[in-house]
Amino acid sequence: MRTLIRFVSRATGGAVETSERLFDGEALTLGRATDQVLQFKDGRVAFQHARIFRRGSRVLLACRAPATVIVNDALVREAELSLGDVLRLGANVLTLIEPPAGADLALTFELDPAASEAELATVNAPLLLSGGRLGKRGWSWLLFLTLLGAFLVLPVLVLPAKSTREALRASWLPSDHAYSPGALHSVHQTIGGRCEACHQQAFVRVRNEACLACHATELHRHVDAGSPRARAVEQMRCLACHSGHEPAPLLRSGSGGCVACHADVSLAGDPHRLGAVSDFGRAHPEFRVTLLRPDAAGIAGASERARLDAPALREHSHLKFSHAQHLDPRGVKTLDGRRVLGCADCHVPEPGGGRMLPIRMAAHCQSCHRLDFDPAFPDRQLPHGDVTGAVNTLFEYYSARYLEGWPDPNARASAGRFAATPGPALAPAERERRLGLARTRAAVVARDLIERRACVVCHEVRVVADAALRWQVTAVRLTHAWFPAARFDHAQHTTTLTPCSSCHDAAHSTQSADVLMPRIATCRRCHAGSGGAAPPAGKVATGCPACHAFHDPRRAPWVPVAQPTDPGR
Amino acid sequence: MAAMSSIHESALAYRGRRYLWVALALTAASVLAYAWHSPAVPPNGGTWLGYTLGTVAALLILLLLALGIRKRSYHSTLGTVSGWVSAHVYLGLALVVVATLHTGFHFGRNVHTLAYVLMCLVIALGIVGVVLYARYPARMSVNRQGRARAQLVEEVNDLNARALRVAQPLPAEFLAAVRSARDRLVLGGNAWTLLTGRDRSRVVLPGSDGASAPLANPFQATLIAWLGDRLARCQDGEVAPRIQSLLTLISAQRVAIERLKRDLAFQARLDAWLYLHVPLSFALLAALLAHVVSVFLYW
Repeated sequence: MRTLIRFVSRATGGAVETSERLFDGEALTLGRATDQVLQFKDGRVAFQHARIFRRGSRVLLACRAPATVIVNDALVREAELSLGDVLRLGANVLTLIEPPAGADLALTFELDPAASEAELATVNAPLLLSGGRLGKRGWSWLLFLTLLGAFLVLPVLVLPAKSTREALRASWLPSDHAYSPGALHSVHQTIGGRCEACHQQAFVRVRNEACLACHATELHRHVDAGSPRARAVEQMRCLACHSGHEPAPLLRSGSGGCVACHADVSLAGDPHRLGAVSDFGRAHPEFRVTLLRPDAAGIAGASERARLDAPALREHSHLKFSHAQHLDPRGVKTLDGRRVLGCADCHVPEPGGGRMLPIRMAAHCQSCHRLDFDPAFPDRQLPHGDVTGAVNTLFEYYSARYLEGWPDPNARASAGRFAATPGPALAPAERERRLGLARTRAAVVARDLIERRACVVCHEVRVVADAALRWQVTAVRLTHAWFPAARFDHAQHTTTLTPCSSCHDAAHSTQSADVLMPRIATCRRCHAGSGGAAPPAGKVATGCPACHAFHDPRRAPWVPVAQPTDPGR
Repeated sequence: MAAMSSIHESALAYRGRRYLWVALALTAASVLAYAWHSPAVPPNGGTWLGYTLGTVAALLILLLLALGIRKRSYHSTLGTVSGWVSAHVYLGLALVVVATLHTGFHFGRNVHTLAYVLMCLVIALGIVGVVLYARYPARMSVNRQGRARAQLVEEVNDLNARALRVAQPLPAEFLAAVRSARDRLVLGGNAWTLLTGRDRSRVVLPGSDGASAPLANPFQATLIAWLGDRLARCQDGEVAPRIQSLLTLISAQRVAIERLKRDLAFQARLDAWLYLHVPLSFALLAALLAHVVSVFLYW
């Protein structure tokens, strides 16, 4: 099929230009695709829109569904075309004209001038999302500047003047309070929202002076001023161990700060024989207890420190005592029959739960170890702790008795001899005789009590033949504070899982010289160090501050020294 | 569809997912360091690991923001934009882990947590964006069938023109109805209309009393129903085929409007995503600046 196409273009002035082209082919294909004979550059036309072909003498139009063509104002898919028919595809107008000689079909092609103007609907609402006048960039700037202004510029600008600073903090606007990582610890709540109380200088880490402004008096030195390590210790930051804001604890529990120096104590010599420490669980010396040391006369007085693993470790208390005997599960004999004793019958924690109250004869021993001396008057007991006083008491007691005409038990053998009751004043000679009896009686009873029945049971008793007082009874000197510098709380450790015996092996101790303080291995059953990774399963991570104090109350107060402006942490 | 989405998959699969491995390595290193680290205080941003993680996180944020600069620098040879997008996505995901470990899981009502929350918001939106950009461009291509948006609009308008032409010889009420539907056709709309793809077009149909109030005409449904009604009642053998043609055109227009509305909805969702992702990123930058400066201001 030979098809002539006359392209018509109308200029605005009304002039008409035409050009013609001939196509050969089975059919005239119409569409937007490049393989179409008549290619349209109109989005409303499909790639393969329609084809025009001859069948016999008939000229037919067939659209490829769903495309349609308007033929003479009628919408069609298929049509038989005749001369003069007008076809519209989008804004394109095709008109069938008489084919010239040599052509089977002829069409004019032109653009519909009206279609592109009046008949097109206007887009009466925005097709694309817009952020209003601002746009993405505008919104970005707005948000950026708003947040920067509210959370950085304004809070920082008002900082220098107290009035503006406080006004902003009191207002609903964000202030530097928004910089607080967490609440202050309860002990520091009185500081309130005054950030500058501690953060005294911008971009400089909190300095010790800020802490010492309030804590000048109660904080004591860690080492004495003359110590070779004094300067290094003075330059430590308070915040190396302490922190101001939650959730960090007020005092760090780890050992890092301590171990930095104490892992190698040889650096500063080791005047206190501390030994190297790097981890409670793995590298910590055996505990050292503070014991009373016997002097030349053998009397315990001054203290000494001794490792618990020392081979000949003994306590010099001058007490004769067997824990095993007193903790006999069958009980101990008392006036009221057998009674089973427990630790708490004698060992009572101090108020606060730290150490134990001292053991006292009157409170803890005397209910069994009675100091009575006269079966007729069992409630009458000798004073404890004063041998001279006790002997005098005996003499006074028996003097009174004899002078009152108390029947002389020694004279009982001679029948009928009774002291006269109450009678006339005694003759001097009779008084002397009776006092002599009382003196003798007192001496006998004293000797019986001291050397055989009472004192000697618990005390070391020496007989000094020529002295005015025949006996020397050594006072008991029990150790009250075995670890005077360590923090330990019995209250925290007394559970049903950890009875006294889990740390103190009293049931097998027969000697008062036995030291029943637990060794480090005992503590390590539950406590591991805090260094390295997580503690072994079932153990408590324990840092130095759990037991040791950095600030030593026995030393002078901490004196602030000038710190480097930016000390490394 | 698979072929169309390959462009976007290729950004994620850039160079054998190189940045996925970088991000995984960074994440693993952060988690291992955090697990191994046992500071004297509860883990927080102020330990050496906290400072390290914080520095890494801040640099990551700056790197992620730099995508906005790099993608506009057409002459830049600093990596390909595809590589940058890949890094942006994977490193952005790793940032969640790094920054969360930096916090030590301490949160409060302060500027530090504000920065963290904004960061999480931006990253969450980023994940939404990855999903949108993995799906929508392909769906949009399928929907458009190779045409530009202007051509979709033109198709609707062309069908208007053709419907008006077909309506010309019909009784006046048909031309009035078609013209009214054209006049009250709303292709665009406000943000909600665009995002949901709803059609708020209206039409005034000639009633028995001459005029009536505008009716909602979503996707020409009202006009089509009216034309169908007229066609059913038409007894005239000449008029009926023309009404049928008009109905065909308006139905075709309904399809064209639906297609355009879908296209606009896809585009609106992509635009809306950027409108949230980009400005919030800058809000994050401000909060990050306030966080970093304030931490050292009150060291």
